[in-house]
Amino acid sequence: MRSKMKELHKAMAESLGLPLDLALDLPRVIVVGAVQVIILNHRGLIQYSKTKLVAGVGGGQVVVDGEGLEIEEIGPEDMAVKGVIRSVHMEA
Amino acid sequence: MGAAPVLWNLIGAVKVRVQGPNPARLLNLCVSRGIPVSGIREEDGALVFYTLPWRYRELRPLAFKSRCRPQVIGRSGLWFLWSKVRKRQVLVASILVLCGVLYYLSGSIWVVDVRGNSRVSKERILGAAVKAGLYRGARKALICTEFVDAIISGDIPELGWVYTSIHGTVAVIEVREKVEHPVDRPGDMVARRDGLVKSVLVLSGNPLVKAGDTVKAGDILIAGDPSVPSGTARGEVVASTWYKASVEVPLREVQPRRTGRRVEVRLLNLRGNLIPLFGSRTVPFRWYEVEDSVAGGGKEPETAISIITRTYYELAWVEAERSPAEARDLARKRLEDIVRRQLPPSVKLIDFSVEVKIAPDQGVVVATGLAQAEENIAVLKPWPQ
Repeated sequence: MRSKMKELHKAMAESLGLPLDLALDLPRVIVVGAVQVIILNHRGLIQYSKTKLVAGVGGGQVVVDGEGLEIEEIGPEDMAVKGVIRSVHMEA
Repeated sequence: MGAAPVLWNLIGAVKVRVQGPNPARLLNLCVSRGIPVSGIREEDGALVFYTLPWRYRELRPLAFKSRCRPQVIGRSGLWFLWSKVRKRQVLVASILVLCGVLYYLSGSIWVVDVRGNSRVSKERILGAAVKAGLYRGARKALICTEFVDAIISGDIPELGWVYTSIHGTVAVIEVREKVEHPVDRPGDMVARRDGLVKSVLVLSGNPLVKAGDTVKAGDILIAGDPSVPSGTARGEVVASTWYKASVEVPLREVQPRRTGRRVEVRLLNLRGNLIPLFGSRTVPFRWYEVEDSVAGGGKEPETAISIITRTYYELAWVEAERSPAEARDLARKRLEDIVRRQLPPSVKLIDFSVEVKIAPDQGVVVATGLAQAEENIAVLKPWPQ
């Protein structure tokens, strides 16, 4: 039932031309080269170390792997991570 | 390396080290309560971050809730400086008084400078400026430069133009003195030097020469009319003139040469007064050349401060031998300089020829130069009264 509602929301947003991240409460992840990752619309920090950062987002987790990771700024909705970024991926 | 934002470092920042099973939870709690955190990084299994000093107290119950142990490991910024300084009230008062005195003094005129005067004395101009309220110690806010200009111009009729400007604490009065033109006395236009007349332009009087005539210095070119009250002769007579000069260059000559030894002295230039800063105060050489290089000072060295690096180069007198070709080139160059210096700026140089004679038996090279020029040779010669 819930997944059907999501599908409906997605279809409506697409048909109305609305941004999907706003309409479906999804994260927006901006990767600046291999030096910075900005995660917008996050739901909190789950795990943090020099080599791995896991941030909770709507629909799963964003995982950043790298070296010397530092959280430059963290706010209620956005987070800026810098360091040597190896990979950024989404886990459901 | 994590770091606090620049503004935090200025205002105040606390560096916190958090140890516990789940420091990420503390960060989430801080964010949810609106406690700003920045520069988060992991150090030896602990979390290190920066926060604002006045929000640190709110962080401690959150740390307890997340079973973490926070520890302040660094403090920076004006917040902590102020907490140290406020215990020294006399120091604070002294700094405030000093700032106040500096602010007050920067609003006064410390130096009044006068530029551009030659016949009118500086004291007279400064005296007139005092009447207009411009003097050493006067408040800048009370000085109206236009009023000062008007008062000085009115007081000293010999001045044609006055402009007062204030740069920081220095007031500069720039003046131009009126030029007194000599009263025209009636007379004839006579030749200033020998020449071959090329053209004659008569504004008043009777021309006595025409183009193609040869004239000698002192000849009357345009005659005035004594029967008319303003019968002075006026006009221009352009003629070809010749300038001759000769120069001798010896084949053997004693010349100054730098030995390679040098001494550097640093001087502080305070509005033209040179104060030695570093280096010897006496020059250890008998013969020397001086070179100055100036650092700072801006466009107006009279009102500015600059550092002058003065270098003294030792000279030795060495007998140098020239080849005839070198001597000839040098003679030609010196001759050109001499002839060009003889010519007034308004004179048009038409031709310049050089004749060089080498006399190796006498040890000299003799160069003779002849320059042909075109110029107005007519000058007024007043009649005897």
